[in-house]
Formats: sequence, structure tokens, C-alpha cells
Amino acid sequence: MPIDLKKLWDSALVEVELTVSKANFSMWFKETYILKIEDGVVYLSVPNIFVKDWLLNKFHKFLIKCLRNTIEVRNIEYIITKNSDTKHTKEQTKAVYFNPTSELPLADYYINKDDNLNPRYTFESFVIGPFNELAHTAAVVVSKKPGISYNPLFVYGDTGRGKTHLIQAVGNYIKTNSTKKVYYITSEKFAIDYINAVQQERANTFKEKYRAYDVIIMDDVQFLSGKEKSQEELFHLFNSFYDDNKQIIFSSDKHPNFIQNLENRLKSRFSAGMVVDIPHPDIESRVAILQQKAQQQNFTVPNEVVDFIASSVDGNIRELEGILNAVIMQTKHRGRDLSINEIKNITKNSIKPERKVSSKDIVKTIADFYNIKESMIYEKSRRKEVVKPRQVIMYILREEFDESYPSIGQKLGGRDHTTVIHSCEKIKNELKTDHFLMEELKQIKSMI
Amino acid sequence: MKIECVKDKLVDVINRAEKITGKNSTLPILSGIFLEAKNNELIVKSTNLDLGLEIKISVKIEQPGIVVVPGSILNSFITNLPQTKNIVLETTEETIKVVTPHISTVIKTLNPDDFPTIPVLTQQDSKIFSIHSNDFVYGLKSVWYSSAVSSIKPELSSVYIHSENGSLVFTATDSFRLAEKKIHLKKTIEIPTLLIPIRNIPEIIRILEQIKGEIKIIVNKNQIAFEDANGLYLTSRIIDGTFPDYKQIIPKEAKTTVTLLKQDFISSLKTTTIFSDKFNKLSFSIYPGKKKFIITAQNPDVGESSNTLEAVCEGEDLNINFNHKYISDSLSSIDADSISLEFNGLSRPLVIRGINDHSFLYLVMPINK
Repeated sequence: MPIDLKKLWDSALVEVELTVSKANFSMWFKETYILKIEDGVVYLSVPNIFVKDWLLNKFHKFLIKCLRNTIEVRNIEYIITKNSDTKHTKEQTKAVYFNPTSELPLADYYINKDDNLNPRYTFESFVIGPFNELAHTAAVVVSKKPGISYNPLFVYGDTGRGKTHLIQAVGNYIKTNSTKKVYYITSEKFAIDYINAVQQERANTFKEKYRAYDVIIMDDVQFLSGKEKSQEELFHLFNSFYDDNKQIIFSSDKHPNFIQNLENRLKSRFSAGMVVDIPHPDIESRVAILQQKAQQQNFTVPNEVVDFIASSVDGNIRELEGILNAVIMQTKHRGRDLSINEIKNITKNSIKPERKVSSKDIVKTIADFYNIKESMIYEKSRRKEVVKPRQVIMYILREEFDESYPSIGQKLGGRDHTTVIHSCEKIKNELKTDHFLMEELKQIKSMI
Repeated sequence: MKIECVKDKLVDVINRAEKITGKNSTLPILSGIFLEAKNNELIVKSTNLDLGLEIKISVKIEQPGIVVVPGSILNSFITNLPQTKNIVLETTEETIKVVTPHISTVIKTLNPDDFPTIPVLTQQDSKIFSIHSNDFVYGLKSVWYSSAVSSIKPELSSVYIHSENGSLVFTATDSFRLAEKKIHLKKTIEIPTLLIPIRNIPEIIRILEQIKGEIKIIVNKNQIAFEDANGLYLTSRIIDGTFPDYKQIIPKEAKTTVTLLKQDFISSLKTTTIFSDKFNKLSFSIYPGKKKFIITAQNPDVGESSNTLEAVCEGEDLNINFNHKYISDSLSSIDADSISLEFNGLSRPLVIRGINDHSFLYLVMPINK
């Protein structure tokens, strides 16, 4: 049965109010409230340590007695929380006076040095859409039970899909809701840190430093590719974390199996817990993201503008945000709403122009990807290892570059257009069932 | 309770304790000073729920006991007592009697049961380190005037302390100027970063200043405490927040540099600022080619003044305006005889440092044209 925490506390306070003086009551009880109730323990929020000591020493038993009138209570824990912003709003209006000195260019949001987390990245500010629902759910589960549910959590997706936001939100959640020590680091920094430690012959302090944390969040692990020693160090760190049931969270732009030059033992470990993908955001999600971002800046953008931006820029959320910021800036600057034409001007540079890549380059990239000689593609050979890449090339040329079937055939060693049609259909059909092929194509597309 | 002690000793502790009592608080008990006599010691406590202070002095105890006396009344009474050596305090039911050879006074007391406990930081989940009190006070005094007065951003209305390469670094900023002081320590200590609210700094400085020697500092997530060898215990709330990453805004080079004697600068500021306007505006004109550094101020209602200083100027010509208060605030924190002013154009901060003194750094933004 859900209990209304506020009502519960109010009813207890009524009894307290009868026994203490008015001044005492307003001093000691006014800013208290129940945070949560777990296993019969009531967690009470208090503004400072004085109140905590006071309640503990003078009112502990009495409060338990009052609460027992309504629910089963075993104990009360007092937790000091930051006082709310009620005080500040009053001052804010008062403190506005003109100071002609310009301000130091300090960042608005401060990254905490102890854990590198940016307080702006929280679950509350994370926009959930069908495309990232799964990733979000996994992240929430992990933050509720770090180290237990999915360890490690591996989030991957293209740049600007909100990976960093999501994994930092987990960190911020764990930080505020438990005493666990969280540490956020990019894989690049990790590697630099390791190299420095080795150079200064402090490899042991390096190990100790990282093992002292309870949760490690490592962003962009693909940059560890080729850094063997750092990978080895991460491997040992991973094992010690995993054995101690400490949570590890990774993000990358590809699935662990597709990160090149990454040791197999790391790949298999990355995939051991939960691997979630943040795919391409659908248009509804893009609209929702834009609306939320606009709201965060206290700005209302007309629906048709939101629709226009969402439909003209795809994928990258960072880019969406940039355009929105530009629109907001211009609107403020001109003091009126912008016309669609003006917005088109702003988005002009962000809409990717038609790609012009020669079919030769594509053949080369894909041949390299499958590790076969470029010339073999053009030959008549029907060996298995050549056929597949050839078909993929045809498919890509058709789907991505809209080439006609005959011209594709022509370019690939004078093949008949029906061969090309057959190849494209074949790949298309296989894509529906073959996950592995899908990943490969994704990779190839990103390489072109 | 009945005790007898040397008057001056008592005056000293009551004086210190009274400063910490809660002024115009809704809770009358906070304006009181808590006295407890036991084991040949008098324990004096006071708190305003932001700061808490506990001092022990040895006294002759005839009868142990506890009492809470209104702070300002007790303080102003015993401070102004004529020359007497000893003083006797004796409590009855609801009063305290202060007796000297010539004067006998009765003061009404408050109920000691209502007095809040001064929080004691437990060893667990807190960090402990010790430092010479002079070093700590010096660090606070060098920067605290730069903190923001309003509490809109609590992390700016506080002094930020962290350790860096064997130094303890004190920083404060109100987003218009920033002061940073590094105190070099003989032994390296690792401390957690902490933010002490500016509201508590003056009292912390006042109390720690009177301590000679090492102090023990205990820090946990919400609270900091200072302890000296004689049983003085002071505790303050600290702010749970993150100080902006200011290192990135410290300019690495300078387009225009001025080097001059600190005393020259101070005296010319003193005369020129008389003529500054309501925004405290002061203009610096620097012409390295003509080897001139000119400070001018003008106020349409008062007049104007301009002062050419002897200085070594290098780099580009520059005309720039500052709030004179922001400039002069920093100068008392510089120990060196000569100072350098490093400019980076009209919209970038000015850096003030002592020559050959890397411990202090001050950034101040110019006034917009």
C-alpha cells in the first residue's frame, strides 16, 4: 500500500507541536520531511547536523512513537540534505543590481573534480523515446542496484545519441542516492593517466587509485584500440571490479566485437553483462528532444519550427541542439519569431550535402574491410569470400548512392543488371534476419 | 554550580563565545552561552546553528553544574567590570550570581535542556589532518574578500580549499574577480576539496587567529571542525557543491604588461579613487612606446584626477576601465614590493601578481565600455 509520506509526517508533527514551544517547533521541525521508508526504517531529511543531533537526542523515541500510530516503524535515520531553493528565490529578486563589470567566463555547470561528473547530466533531463527506451531502462536498473543487475553495462551508438548523458546520469544518480564513490573517465584519459603513472614509476598508486572507487564509468572505450598496455591494465581493473561486485559502465561508438585492435579477452568481458544499443532516433523522438531542450531554456518554439528542424536534421542530437540554440539566439536578438525561411538559412549548413564518393573508393573500402584484394572484386571469380563483398558493394551503391542497376554492373567488371538486382535483393533479405551482417553494414557505412 | 576563577581568563572566553551566539534568532536559547563546570574545568559553548564553539578553561570548582546565560548580557557585564582579579559565579534555581569583592549581580538564566548539542565529528567517514593555524588563517585572509555576498550560488559565496602538489590552495570568486592563494606546506597532506561558507569565515578567522601552533582539522561531507591543543573546538557547516573549474580561465600569456612598485600603485589609487563615479570606475591608459602608465578617474559631480606612474610597460597600447574596489582589494594580499599587471585586451581579465611571488594570483574583469 503506498503511503503518502507528507501526510504521514504531518500527522506525526501535529503531536510534536502540542508538546514543544512554537519557537522550538519552527526551529527544529520546519524543514524536515520524510525522504523514504525502507524495511521499516524511516529516512528523515534534516537541514543540518544540529537538527540531526537535536532530534536524535531529544525526540528520537517520541518521533518513533508518533509514527507508530500510523505505520510499523523500527527506526528513524536522519539524513542531512541540502536545503531547498526556497530561500534563494527570495534573494534572487532582491539581489539584482547593476554591475557594469563583465563576468569572468566561468562555466555555468561545474564538473566535479573528484568524480569528473557533470551535474547537468541526470535522468530527469534525459529524453526518452522509443529508440533509447531499452538503454534508458538498463541504465535505471543499474543505478538502482549497482554491481548486481548488469555488470558491466555497455552502451554503444553513434556520436550525439546521448551515450555520455546516459552513463553520467547513472553516475549522478548513484552519487546522490548512496555513499558509493563514482568515477567518470574517458578511455583516453585513462590511457594518459596510465602512461604518466608508468613514467613516474607509480604504477602501484595508479592501481590503488582506481581500485578505491566503487563505480567506474568509462566513456569512448573505442579509443583504447591499439593501446595494448592500457588494455591490459583495464583488463586487470575490470577483473578486480567484477570480482568485488562493483559496477562498471562503458560506452563506445560500436559494439565491442567490432572495435578494432581490441584484445579478445576484453571484448568478451565487455559483452558479458548487458550490451545495449542506442540506435538512430526516430522523428517523434527528435521532436520530443527539441521540445524538452527548448523548455530547459525557457523558450517556446512553434510546433512547425520544431517539426522542420527535426525533419531536416537527422540522427545527431548534438546537432539538433546546436540548431535550436542558434534559433533561440537569433529570435532573442531580433526580438521576434523567425520565419521558416530564416530557419532554413540557419539549418543550411547542418544538413549534410549529397555525398560524392567515387565507386572506386567504395570498392576499395569494402574490399579492405573484408580483407581481400580490390582487383578480385572486378574479376569473374565466384569464390565465397569474394561474392559476399561484391554483393555488399552492389547493395551499398544502390541503396546509399542511388545508382542504376546497369551502371553498377558496368562498374563492377561488366556484369549484367539482373545479377545486380539479385545481389541487392539477397542482401536486403539477409539483413532482415542476419544481425551480424547488419552490424557490418553499419560499420561500412560509417567508414565511407 | 559554583566556580571561582581569574576574571581576565573568563572575560576572554566569554568574549569569544559571545561572537558565535545566534543573533536575532527565533530561538532565544541560541543567544545564550552554555557553561558547564566539571573535573576542574569550565566548558563554554555557544552556537548559531551554523557555527558551534566549545572552549575549555581550568577553574576552581566548588560545585559542578550546568547553566545557560544570555550571552550579550554576561559579556558586556564582565567585560566592563572594574579592575578586580578574581570572580565567582554561582547558580541558583533560575539565576546566576556574579560576585566580585565590590559588586554582586544576579542574571536570569535560560533552561540548559534546550541548548543544542555541538556536533562532534566522528573519526569514521571523515578526514583528519593538521596544519599550523597561521597558515590556514593566512590562506583564508588572502582570498575571502573575493567571495560572492549573495547566496544565489552557494559555491561562489564560499572559500574553496583544495590541495595541489604539496600546497594548500585557497580560492574565492564572485564571478567578477577571483583570488587564489597557495600556501606551501612542509609536509604533503591530502585533503578532500571543501567549500566553507563565506558567512562563517570572519568568525573562523577571528577564532583561529588567537590559536598559536598546530590545529587539527576534521572534515566530513557536511561539516568541518577545528581543534587546538587546549581543547578549543570550532565547527562549521560546509557546502556540498562544486567550485567552477577556474584554472582554464587563467590567461597563459599577456598582450600588455605593467610592472611597478606596489606602494606607488596603492597611493595613486587612493588619491584617484576620490574622483571615481558611482560605479567606482577607474581608467588605465598604458602606452609602452611612450613608457607611460596613467590612472584617471572622473566624476561629473566632483571633478577629475589623473596620475602618471613610474612603471615598466611592455606590449600593446591599451585603454581599459576597472572598478577600483576590485583592484585595491587584492593589494593587501600581495607581500612582494613590486607587482605585475598583465592585460589581455578589453574583454579579458587582468591578472595581478607579486613579482617573484607565485603563491598569489588575482583575476579581475574590466568594466564594459
